[in-house]
Amino acid sequence: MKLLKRIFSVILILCFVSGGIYLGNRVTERTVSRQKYIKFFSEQKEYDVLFYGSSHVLSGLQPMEIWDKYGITSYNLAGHAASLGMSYWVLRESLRYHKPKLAVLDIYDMYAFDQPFMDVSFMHYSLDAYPLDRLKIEAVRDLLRGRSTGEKTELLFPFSVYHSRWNEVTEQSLKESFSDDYFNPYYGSEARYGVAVPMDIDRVPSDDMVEGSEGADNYIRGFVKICEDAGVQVCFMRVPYPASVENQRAENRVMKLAEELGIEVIDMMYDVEGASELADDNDVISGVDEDQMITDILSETGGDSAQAAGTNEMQQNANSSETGEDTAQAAGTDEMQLNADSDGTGATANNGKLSSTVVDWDTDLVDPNAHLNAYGAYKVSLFLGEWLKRVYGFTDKREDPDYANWNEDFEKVYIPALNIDMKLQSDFKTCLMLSAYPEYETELQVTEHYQPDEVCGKLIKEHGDRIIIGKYREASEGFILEPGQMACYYDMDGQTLGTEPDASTLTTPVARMIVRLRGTGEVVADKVFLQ
Amino acid sequence: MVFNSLGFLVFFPIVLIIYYIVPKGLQNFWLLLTSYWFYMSWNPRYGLLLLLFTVFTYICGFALGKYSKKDREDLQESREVKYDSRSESDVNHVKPYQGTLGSQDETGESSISMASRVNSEVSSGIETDLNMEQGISKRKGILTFALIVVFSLLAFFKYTNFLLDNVSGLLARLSITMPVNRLDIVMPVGISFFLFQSAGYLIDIYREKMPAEKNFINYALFVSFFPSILSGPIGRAPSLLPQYLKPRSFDWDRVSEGFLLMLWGFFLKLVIADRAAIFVNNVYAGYHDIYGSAIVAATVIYAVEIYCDFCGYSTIAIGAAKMLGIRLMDNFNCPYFSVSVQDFWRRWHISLSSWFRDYLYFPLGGNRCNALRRYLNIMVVFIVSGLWHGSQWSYIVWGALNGIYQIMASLLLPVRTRVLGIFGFDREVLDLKKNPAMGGSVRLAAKKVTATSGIAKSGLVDPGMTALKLLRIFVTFCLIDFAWLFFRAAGLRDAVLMLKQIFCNFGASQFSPEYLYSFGLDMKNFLLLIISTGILFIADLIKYHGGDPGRWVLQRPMILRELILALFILVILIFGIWGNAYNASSFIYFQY
Repeated sequence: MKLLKRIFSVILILCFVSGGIYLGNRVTERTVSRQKYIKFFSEQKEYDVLFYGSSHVLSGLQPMEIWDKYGITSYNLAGHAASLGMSYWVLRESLRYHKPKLAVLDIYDMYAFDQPFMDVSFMHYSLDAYPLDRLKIEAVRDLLRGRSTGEKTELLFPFSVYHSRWNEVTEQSLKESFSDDYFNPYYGSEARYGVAVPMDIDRVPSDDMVEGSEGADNYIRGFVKICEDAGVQVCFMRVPYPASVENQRAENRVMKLAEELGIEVIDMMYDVEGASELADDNDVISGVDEDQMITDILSETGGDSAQAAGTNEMQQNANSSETGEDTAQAAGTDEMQLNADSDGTGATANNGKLSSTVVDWDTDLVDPNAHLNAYGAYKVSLFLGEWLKRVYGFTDKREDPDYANWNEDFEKVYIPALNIDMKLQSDFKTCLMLSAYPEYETELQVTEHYQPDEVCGKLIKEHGDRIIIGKYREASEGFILEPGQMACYYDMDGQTLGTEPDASTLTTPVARMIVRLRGTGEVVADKVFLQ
Repeated sequence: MVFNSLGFLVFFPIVLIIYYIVPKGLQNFWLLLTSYWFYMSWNPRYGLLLLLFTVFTYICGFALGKYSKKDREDLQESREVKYDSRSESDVNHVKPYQGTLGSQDETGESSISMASRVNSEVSSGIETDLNMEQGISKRKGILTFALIVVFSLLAFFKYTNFLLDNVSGLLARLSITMPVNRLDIVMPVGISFFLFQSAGYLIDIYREKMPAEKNFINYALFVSFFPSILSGPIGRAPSLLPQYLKPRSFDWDRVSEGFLLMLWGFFLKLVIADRAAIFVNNVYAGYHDIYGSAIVAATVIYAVEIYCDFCGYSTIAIGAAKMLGIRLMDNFNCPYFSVSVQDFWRRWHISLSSWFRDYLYFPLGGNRCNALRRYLNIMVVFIVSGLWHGSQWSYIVWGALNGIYQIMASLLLPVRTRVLGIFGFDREVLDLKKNPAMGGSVRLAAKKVTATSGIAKSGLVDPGMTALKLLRIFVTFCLIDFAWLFFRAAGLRDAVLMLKQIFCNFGASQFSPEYLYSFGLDMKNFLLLIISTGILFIADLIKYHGGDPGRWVLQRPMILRELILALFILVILIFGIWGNAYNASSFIYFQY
């Protein structure tokens, strides 16, 4: 009896402690990983496509835009600073929840010298949401081989680091911890806001490549094999970014390996110019002439917006999009057409410099050497959507009642989230960039102080006919903010000013931007830019 | 492997379970094996050093024991011869030497029969005296040799570079250019503790307080017992070794008490000490640009930190040992309730203080000599104590300060007594022996005094006396805390510069909560530090008055008790500073 009592006593303590740890973990955990995966786990139907890779993918495409314009279901499973090894393990974890028709892996940094090394703090983002089980233990052991037990423990039992966040617990964080109502509204993606222009980079010839690395090769082959074993089609992609010479050489190596493996690479930095010159039959992949394919898709989706046509042409195209064609299609493809080159290819002579057939370096990057901004992601999403439709034959499910939740999420989750982000922006170029989304129409009132630079000019062109530029007249007694207006600084060069200046010290209005939702006319943002 | 590491959380339960499963005869062997594993997890080479050191001291102890036994026989024979020459009947009054473990020698021959045998050898009396003298001199020689080796080892690992630095500095001052390179010496962790423990063992054999341990496994375990090898408590052989002779069975109550002690130790270390360390480390690392007020605050918090850190370690060690059925000596007894510096050293790091008292202070003459010599003895003990803590001048100054405090207290006693007399206090109010309520719990003192002299308890609870006691506690804390500044500073120069900051750039007007929050602890963490220190204060207060909070918890009804224990564990898990982000900070006393 005494023994039983003691055993019960121990069990009781264990129960109390376990319960306490569970609660403590929920209360103190960083919810960003859980929020990323909530929608992914809860989706009842299989996805068409799942995207894997690093932050280039995370900020480089929007599944909701692909859905809205092409009716293809997808989810962005990329992670911050995720190594190739991490993508491999995320694939294995994710396949236990969903088997997509296609898995797409970004080739950026596959041959990083210390694969699969990555910062442990970023690993949490990709792994925390997955439950502790054998596969996760295997993943952590592999990704952190040779690293300390403490680091491994931290990933397997995130409470070991998150418990120190007890002093950050707020009413809001408690709500987020215990509710599934707080989730990533971008279906795994993270939109980035800002506009930056990179330096010119020489394009590296396709036969100039780095030595292979056994570790990376194994992960690449492993990724392909896991997909094949699961009956999932696999392809690689190269999300546009100003790749350094070393990165290009590494990517050329991946291209070669992909060719060996018979894996298609959706290359959004494809050397159209070089390919045209060579006119090489070897460029035919999966029975599709890639050069022609890119040309065709760009003519459908817009492409090199740097070569955008004049406003009159845009307006003409916009008018034609309202003449009875599929309106949903018009909202996407036709809008991009507005910006298409007159010859429809989007490809221009680049004098041996690295270029993208999909994005414009001047307007579509958030930082000068890596990531796409929200509008760049929008362009990539449209390009990918068209590619997936044409090459993989994904059907449009927008009218399918089984996928009504996707339409609902687009309207009730994705657009409101974009609106909130729009409201929060305070940089002039960023506002111009984000309001270029086809969901918005913009009224820009400017004073005599307004002097658009080349980037602003391009961004304005991206709006097509959805922008009206007029004159902004100050009140005679000086500048006064109207209700709902936000006073922002005006940054002529598009550079981040660091700490936001005190609007009260800036008194000369330069422009007023009113952004409205198309269709409803609801004002999303009304900002006055001062200098 | 430190106590607050994942490794220990796996290691200890495994050790404990197997310990109670294996046959009783193998318990010590299992403990020895795991102790070496524990110790070698720091550096496998240390294990070899520990083994060699253990073998050496074992042999020395054995040799000392051999001559001691011979001495006993010789002494016995000599006495009996003398008695026999005076009166035959006096033989029955001969008291043979009784060691701590019995009155019979190894052959089983009783002292009386031995005496009878000796009676027939009267003629050999002179020769016996000679043998005894030779024996004593051999023992002295062995002990001297052993202690020289032991302390040379300590000096080599701990003070070689200190010495070289000072020689180098001195030569530089004398403008003599001679390159003096530091040696690449890695000090084995816990060396100061197990060396002192072994030295105490050898001295105890020499003093014939105990026989030498013949079982090598038991002796090796005495040296390397994993709960105490790194930071003590420094065990005493006469109380520890006999415990290893007895088999230990699983005792639920004892294991529960040990477990609770471990939890309390973890609370002190992880919730209080490591949290306080964030603030203290930031202030002490950047004191150049910090107001003196923050340095004062950090030094006060450091007093809490070092107490919780070291007491935390000792408590975990005592708890772990208790769970294994071994009783280690208490190392702390409410030190910050001390009414004098002398009182403080009876309550702080008791195992080391008592070691210095028994093996250094008493041999130097202790209190039984003239005042000047006594003061010299005190200074020697405290300077050595400072050196023991670290090979830096700041530690020596810290030790010297504690010695000076005590000498000053002694010198100023007449003045203090006279001043107190003005306020109506008794002449003996400062004498802790004659006035136990001053140096301890009023309640306990009342109980004691009431029992012996019939004085009512109320007579001891005098408001004036309480006020005096609180004042003394406060003054003692200030003195001790001032010395801690030298102890914590990176070096003597830093300590002096910090004092300069305190006196020349105090910045009282800048002292604000926001200013304090800029040193790594935000408001919530500060609040938690204050609350948890308050819990420690209450627990110490209960202990000071003879209570036992741990026993109180264990005596609660089952559900409530389990709930309290679980809550305690969760408090440590959630509010403790642990996990990969903090790199499992080590205990301060590991470096000594």
